[in-house]
Amino acid sequence: MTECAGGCQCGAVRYECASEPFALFICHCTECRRQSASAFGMSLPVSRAGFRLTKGAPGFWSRRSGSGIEIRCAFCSDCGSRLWDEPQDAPDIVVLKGGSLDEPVDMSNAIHIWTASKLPGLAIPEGARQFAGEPTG
Amino acid sequence: MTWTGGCQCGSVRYEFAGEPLALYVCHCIECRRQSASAFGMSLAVPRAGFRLNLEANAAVSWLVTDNAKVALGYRVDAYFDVYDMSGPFDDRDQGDRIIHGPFIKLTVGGGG
Repeated sequence: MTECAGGCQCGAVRYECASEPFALFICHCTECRRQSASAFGMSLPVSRAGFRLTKGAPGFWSRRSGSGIEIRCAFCSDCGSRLWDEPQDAPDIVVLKGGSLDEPVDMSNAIHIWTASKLPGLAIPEGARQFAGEPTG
Repeated sequence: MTWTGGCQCGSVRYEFAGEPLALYVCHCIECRRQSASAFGMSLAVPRAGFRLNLEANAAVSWLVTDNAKVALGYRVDAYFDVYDMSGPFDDRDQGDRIIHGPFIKLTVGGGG
């Protein structure tokens, strides 16, 4: 059963997931700001077991996280939209990029991370879980 | 002042002199896809002061189609000319996260 589906802006690459994401992180780090070309990145980890490509073939590029972990980053080679990340230290999960999902993501319970590098003038909702850097606990 | 920016991997860099005319935070579906986040951010700047660093861009290998052609300088004018002044904010964005015309979209990821 498909719980969520998504794809890139031009529609060349599409994916489906059999399970729902188990968290929503809004990341204000400088890498995520570049990745999104916006104010923050949105990351939704899902089980890799139920994740499947349904159309097209993404391109990949790799980068290292601040802690040295290789992250394979999937994007559409036609339109450039980012789709998901594959952290190489967590082979059981795929981290979906929020804006690629077909259904609007409810941001009410988002966990804000790396708020130390949040853009000036951007408000985090009162009461939201937040961490200045990497989430702990 | 002179602003500089570029993509996440550093293959494409640009700079412009002057001040952005406006900042738009766009919540449309196209901008959500484009950013893979909650909204797109667009800063309109005068084209006159904008410059791609074509020397650095010659190393681009993973950007393809229109992105690569723009980066390599083959179709910069044609690409910008796709849009006319009457429709700069419509939904015909081709997904290029760095620039589109006739205004120029800038990554506001800061200097980090």
